[in-house]
Amino acid sequence: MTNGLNLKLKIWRQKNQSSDGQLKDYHVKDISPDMSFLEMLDTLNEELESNGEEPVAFEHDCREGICGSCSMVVNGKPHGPERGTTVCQLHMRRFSDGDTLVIEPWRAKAFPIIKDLVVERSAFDRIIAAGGFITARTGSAPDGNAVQIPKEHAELAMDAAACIGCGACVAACKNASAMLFVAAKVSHLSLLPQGKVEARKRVLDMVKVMDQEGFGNCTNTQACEVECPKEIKIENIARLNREWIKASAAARDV
Amino acid sequence: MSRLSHFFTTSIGQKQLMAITGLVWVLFLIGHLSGNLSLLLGPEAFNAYAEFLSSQPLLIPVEIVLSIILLTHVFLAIRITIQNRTARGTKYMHKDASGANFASRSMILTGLLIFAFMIIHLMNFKFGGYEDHDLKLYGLVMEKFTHPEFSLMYLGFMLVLGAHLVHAIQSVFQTFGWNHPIYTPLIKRISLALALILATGFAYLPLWAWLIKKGGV
Ligand code: FES
Repeated sequence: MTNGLNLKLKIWRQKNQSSDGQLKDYHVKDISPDMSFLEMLDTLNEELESNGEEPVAFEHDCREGICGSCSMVVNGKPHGPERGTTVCQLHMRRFSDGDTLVIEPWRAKAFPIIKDLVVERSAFDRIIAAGGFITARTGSAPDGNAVQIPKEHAELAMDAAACIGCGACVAACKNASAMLFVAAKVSHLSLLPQGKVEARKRVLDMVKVMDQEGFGNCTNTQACEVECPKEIKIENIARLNREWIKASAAARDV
Repeated sequence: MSRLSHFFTTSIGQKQLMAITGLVWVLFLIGHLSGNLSLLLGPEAFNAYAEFLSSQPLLIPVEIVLSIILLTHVFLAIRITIQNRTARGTKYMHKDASGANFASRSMILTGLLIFAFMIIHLMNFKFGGYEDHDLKLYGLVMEKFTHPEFSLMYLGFMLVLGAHLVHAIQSVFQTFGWNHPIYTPLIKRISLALALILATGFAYLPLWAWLIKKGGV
């Protein structure tokens, strides 16, 4: 049995979208270093519930770092201090006994807070709906090597497709820009032959909706790349810029 | 027309305009520093250079175009900053820069300071009455820089300029979509070197006039 951690938590509590929120102090005792960050919050919630208090609302689903549901900022860092890790995969051994942890929701106008740490991320869905897909049926799985894709492109597309759409890039960016998310989606589709056909229309439509949703402008600070739990690179943002320039210059109807 | 407005209204379009207008001014700075180095050659060379520039027939048109480019850069910067602050909404209680360096986070601050400096600079030299000076512009420059507070102010502003350029120059490449695992690290190093050369180059002249030449000829 390892020694448990005693932590002071300052958690953002907000009743609903229209009410004002504030940080509230909590203490958790004897937290196992083997617990995940979310399990630590579960422990707190059990205690709150047994005291008849409202548990802290936070999003979670897979707890395996693949669904992108979990979303909270720990001491100013989206998904906490561990690089390339979602907060559900973050272990409490990363912290020391006596630490104070400030836990806040993603902060962006395009992601309104629904309750406590839960934010509305359907702005991302609307960006995807604007063009983050291939409209034509691509048929069933083609014969091996029937569609030739250079290994490098396959790898780059795969790296971009690792994006789980959690929104940590928006949360980390000082401008609340969604460029890394859009860049990942545009990259993973435009690098593959099936996605090339609609590449121009896609990039213009997705960027248009991204702007409409009220995300900020990218100023190349690179904070998104640092905080992305899937380590998506800003090289993808350069590709997005490139694709957008090409599409804007060539488009006949803009 | 709508194609043009596209560049003023979309986030990536504004980004392109910021990069292009900024790049023009980086080129201007390179030219300006190269010309200013003639100060080190003495009054004849420097005044001849100043005379050569001011007698160019295209001087006024070029100045107007440069001003428009600069004002576009400043206007967009302010608008982008307002949009970005609005996009955040409620601020974080606990802030962390997530690895973003000071230069990249402070572009609006350094940018506005540089803008203010440009006005001070023009008032002091271009419109500083050098025609009445014995040694013309050379004489005015040497006289002004012998005042320690004036030279120190210039040094301070050159630090600000350096900070702005450190982020600005390499940022242009990313904005244009030029990011490559092999070239980008090289581009970043060259950008840093250029930013340092420009800032120290401009900072050297007041120091030289003040401490080495002590305002003399
Ligand atoms: S809960 Fe699914 S990624 Fe964290």
